[in-house]
Parts: sequence; structure tokens; C-alpha cells
Amino acid sequence: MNIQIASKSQVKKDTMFLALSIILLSIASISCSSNALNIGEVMPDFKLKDYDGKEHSLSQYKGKIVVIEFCSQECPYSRGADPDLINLHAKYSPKGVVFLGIDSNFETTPEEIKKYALEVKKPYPILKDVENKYADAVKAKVTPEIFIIDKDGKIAYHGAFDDRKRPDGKPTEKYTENAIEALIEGKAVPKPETKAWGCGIRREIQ
Amino acid sequence: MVKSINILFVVLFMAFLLLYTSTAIAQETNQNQLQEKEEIKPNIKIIRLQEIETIITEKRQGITIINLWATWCPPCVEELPFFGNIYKNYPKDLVHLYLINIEGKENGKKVVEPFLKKKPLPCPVYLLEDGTPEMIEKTLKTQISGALPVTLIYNSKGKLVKKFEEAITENTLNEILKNYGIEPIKKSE
Repeated sequence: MNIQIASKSQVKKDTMFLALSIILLSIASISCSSNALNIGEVMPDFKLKDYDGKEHSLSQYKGKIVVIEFCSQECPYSRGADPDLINLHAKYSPKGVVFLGIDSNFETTPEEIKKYALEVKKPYPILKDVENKYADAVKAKVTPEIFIIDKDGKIAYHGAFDDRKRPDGKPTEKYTENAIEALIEGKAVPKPETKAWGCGIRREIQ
Repeated sequence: MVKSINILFVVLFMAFLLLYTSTAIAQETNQNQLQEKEEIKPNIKIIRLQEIETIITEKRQGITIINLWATWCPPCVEELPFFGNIYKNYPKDLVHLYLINIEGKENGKKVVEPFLKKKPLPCPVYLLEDGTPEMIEKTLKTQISGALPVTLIYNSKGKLVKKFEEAITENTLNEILKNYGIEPIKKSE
């Protein structure tokens, strides 16, 4: 009889251990399977130079809304968003919103970035992410890919610039502008995460 | 008199021969042009997400290749002829090819059709009617980064066996088909 009771408690212990393992494993698998950084997570800091050699860090803009655009001067889809980004900059930089471009394509030089930026009159700094280290850190995959950081340095929006399907297409949903508006008004971002079509960020071949 | 009649006859015969040959050549050229025109007429079909779901889940002989592309994507444009060759060179009951353009139904006439007139393909091209990248990802049942082109290869049981989120070469495609025991159609000499 005693033996039976002992085995019952053992079974109970085993079941609890199994349940705990399953919970822990599923938590681990959720965090592993998620490729991108999560909304609400603190955006990792960077120290990157713009095409004129001036260093910028994300932490220097703390307390401001920061729009980060992973861009490519070669990608037609990324270039297609530029006129609208320039307009957004004109509209929101007077309200204190910071715009930064980051070029992570491994073979693109600061000179090439500068040439294109001056040509299309991109008014905000474009930083060179040497060896695509920052793109790796934040798991950026395509261009254009947008991260909007709130005043606390947390990711408030991540994804496509808007929902256009062509470089010159008309969007039906302006994800980036809607997110900036919401953050300025202190409201929740309507669609904090979307998926972007685009050109793959070309990484250094190891 | 007889001699001059003979000369006239020869001249007439020669003229007839020349006329006949030139007409025949002209006819042949017209036919060729017509054939070329028929060949370059783009074969564009509309496809819905639901149909893609059916395509990738149904079991059928051979393999299914799904390629997502856009006319604005240079590596996509570069690899399209490879898929065209695969379509021409392999048995259609063993290689089920779907080149799916993601620029939307509204850009079919305006963008995709003129593009295919300039760069003709022997196979049909599908225009995705509906769906955001998120919905497409869900339908394909695999994570995609959004970087184009995307090539997905499913086996006869509807299982995803290869995923490329970058340009693919014709050699790679040929190798994959070879690994599945699919041989090119033997052309008669």
C-alpha cells in the first residue's frame, strides 16, 4: 500500500517536471523562432558614420522619435520610396522627428551613397553600416525596411514603408506616416508590424 | 523567228520562277512573323491566394516550383529566362511551374504585359490578385523575409523541400530536378 502511495507521488512529480519542461521549451522555441526584434524591445544602439564621416549614435537622439530606414541606392523599390521619405522629413522634422538612413549593402561605398543622396536631395544623414553589422544586430533583411523608435528608445514600428507593390505605386496604407502621427499624438501605433517586399540586403560573403 | 520565240519563252519562264520564289519567301516570312507574334503574346493568368494553397498542398507527380517576382526586381528579371527554359525542357506533367508576379492585378495590363512583350517567356505568368506579404507568407507556410526573388520547391507530397530567397541559376534548377529523377525531354534530331 505504501509503495503504491510513493509511486503516485512520484508520478505527480514526474508530471509536474514534464509540464514545466514543456512550458520552458515552448517559451524558448517562441523566442528562437522569432527572427525579427519585437515591438516594444529597446532598439540596439549604434555608432555609425554618415557619408561625410560624421559619427551618429542612436543614443544621441534619446527623447526623440527616430525613423530609421534601411536603404539602398541600387534597389529600385528603395529608391521608389525616397520622394515620399523626403516629403515625410519635410513634414515631421520641424516637429522634432529624426530621420536616418542606413546603407548596409556590404559593397556600397560612402562615396556612392553620397553621390545618390545629393542627386535625389535626400535631406537627412545616410549612415554606412560597414560589414552590415548593425543590420545583423537588428535582423534587417530588405530595403526599404523601416524601424520607428519611440522617445524611450523602444521599437514602435517595424516593417514596410507603405503597402505599395511597385516603386512608383500608390499606397493604400501609409504605415510609416500613420505610425509617426500616432507617436506624436501619444496614441498606439495602428499597425506596429508589417512585412516589407524589397531587395535583399547584400551581406558580406564569409 | 523560232530562236527569238525560244528566248522569249526562257525569259518568261525565268520571270515566272523569280516571281514564284519571291512570293514563296514572302509567304514564309509572313508565317514566321505571325508565329513570332503568337509566341510573344504574353500568357498572363490571375491567381488567388486560395489557389496557391491548393497548388502547394495537393499531391501530384513530380515537383512544384513557385517563384515570386516583380518587374522592378533586377535579380528576378535576370532569372526568369532560366524558368522559361525549365518549362520548355522538362515534361509538364512532372514539373509544375508557377511564376507569380506580386505587383497586383491592377498592374497586369500597365506593367506586366508590356514587360513580357519585351522579354517573352514560353510559360504562363500568374498575377497575384490579392494578399499582403504577410498573407502570402501564411499561405506558403514558411517564413519569408520579403526580399525578392523567392523560389520554393515542393515535392510530390506537397512538402516544401527547397527555399531560395535570392536569385537561382539554371544549373541549380537542373541539379534539383536531376536529384528528383526528372530528366529533360529528349529532343528528336
